[in-house]
Amino acid sequence: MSAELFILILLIVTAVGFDFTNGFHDTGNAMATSIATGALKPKVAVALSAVLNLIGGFLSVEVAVTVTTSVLKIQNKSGSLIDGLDAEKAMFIIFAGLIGGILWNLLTWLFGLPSSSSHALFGGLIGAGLAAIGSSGINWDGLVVKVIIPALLSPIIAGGVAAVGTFLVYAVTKNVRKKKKDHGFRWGQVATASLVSLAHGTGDAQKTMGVIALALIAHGTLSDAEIEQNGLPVWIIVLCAGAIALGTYIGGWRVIRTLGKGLVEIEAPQGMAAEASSAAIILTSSNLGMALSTTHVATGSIMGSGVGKPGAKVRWAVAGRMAAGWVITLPCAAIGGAVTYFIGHLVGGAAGAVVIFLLLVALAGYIYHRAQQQKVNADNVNAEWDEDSNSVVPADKSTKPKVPVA
Amino acid sequence: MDIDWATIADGTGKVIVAGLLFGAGLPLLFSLGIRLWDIGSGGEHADGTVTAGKPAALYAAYAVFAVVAAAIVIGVLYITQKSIDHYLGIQLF
Repeated sequence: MSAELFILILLIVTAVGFDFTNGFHDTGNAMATSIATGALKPKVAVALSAVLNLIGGFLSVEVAVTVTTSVLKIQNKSGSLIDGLDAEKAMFIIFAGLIGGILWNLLTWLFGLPSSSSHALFGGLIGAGLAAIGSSGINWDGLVVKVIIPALLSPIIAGGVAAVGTFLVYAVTKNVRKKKKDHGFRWGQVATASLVSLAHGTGDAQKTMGVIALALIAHGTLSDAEIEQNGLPVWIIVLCAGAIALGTYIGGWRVIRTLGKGLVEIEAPQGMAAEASSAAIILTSSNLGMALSTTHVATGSIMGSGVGKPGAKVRWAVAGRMAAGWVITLPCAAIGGAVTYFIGHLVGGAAGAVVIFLLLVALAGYIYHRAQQQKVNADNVNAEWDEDSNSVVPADKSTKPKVPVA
Repeated sequence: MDIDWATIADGTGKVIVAGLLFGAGLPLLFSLGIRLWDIGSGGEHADGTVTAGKPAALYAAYAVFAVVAAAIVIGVLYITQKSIDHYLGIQLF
């Protein structure tokens, strides 16, 4: 086996790993509100979302190679690599970018922050691209138009739509009996959450497919023309759809908890309004020429449903921490991608690929270990939110100081 | 930098309109259905009064739910039209 093929295989394994983290990081976008209101049992919610993500993954036949080229300039117009960039270097950029993205996804998951997986991927790729080629390797216009502007607009648009929807829903159903209201809106919630899951599968599985396709192009086993003619190779679609579905099923309980319990206390009508706003915007935005991040839209919608409901309050401390998380996602993932590239490039060749792969495994293992010590899972995902710490980890009652008996 | 602000503004405007239409309009319609369903099904109310069911309101509620469901199905088919064409060779729109 040549060194290049070996690097390619490790890269694909890593890409599938990214897709998996993408799945479990984003389960909450679709299902947090249904889990919080009890419309669906936690395990049922993640299973349903997983199946719909799988279907969504198979629905994406659009060529998604542009995902990488929207932030990196490593291909020329004919689809081959730019001058001065050999296959190994190009693969190392993509590889390091993926590692930067995965590590940021895991870190934000540990803290229960619903940050954007797309931003983590873009950030990682940009960092690796800067480290390898310098400023000329970055598609700055693409970065502004396809990443930064949508990120600023989407929470505002989604929040606004959800706030209007929530307000209307509460106004219309003011005199409806609570039992009927809860029952009816739970159905609405399940339907809208399902749509968001489907949309997530079509949009996000495609990103990883694009990354793998680009790696194959860099390696020389696939060309733009072949994709144009026959579509993506089926094994890529199967791998990516499967990985994102499995990730979704594992359930990013920490992120689900922040979205469902931390941001606002959600009732069924709010949940439905929030998910309807998310579904409408995610599904239509890509067709209307402005692809928005699922996470930014979903979070904006949930916040909007808190603004639109008379008397509800948004925990702005949690929202603020989340917004800070969004701002630092790109630079932090970029640093991860750049450092990884330097390490991999320094060692070089197949050995370099092995080193950065093992580095990823070790760091991921450490973060997982940390998360296991303060578990959030299907059993405690809906536990009362700790107003003092605003921590995603539920307060452990036994460790709280007992009130002394006088 | 070569950024086409007009296109961005245009795209943003479209997303807002579509978002309000489907993201707030359909929930509004659905809540109307819930209200009709509540009126139509009768039974005991919060103040203790008991009313008879109103079949007309109930049928109207079902009609509204059907419209919402149809809108969602058509929406999903529209979004996935390329995939349906790719796998099944059916051109829907």
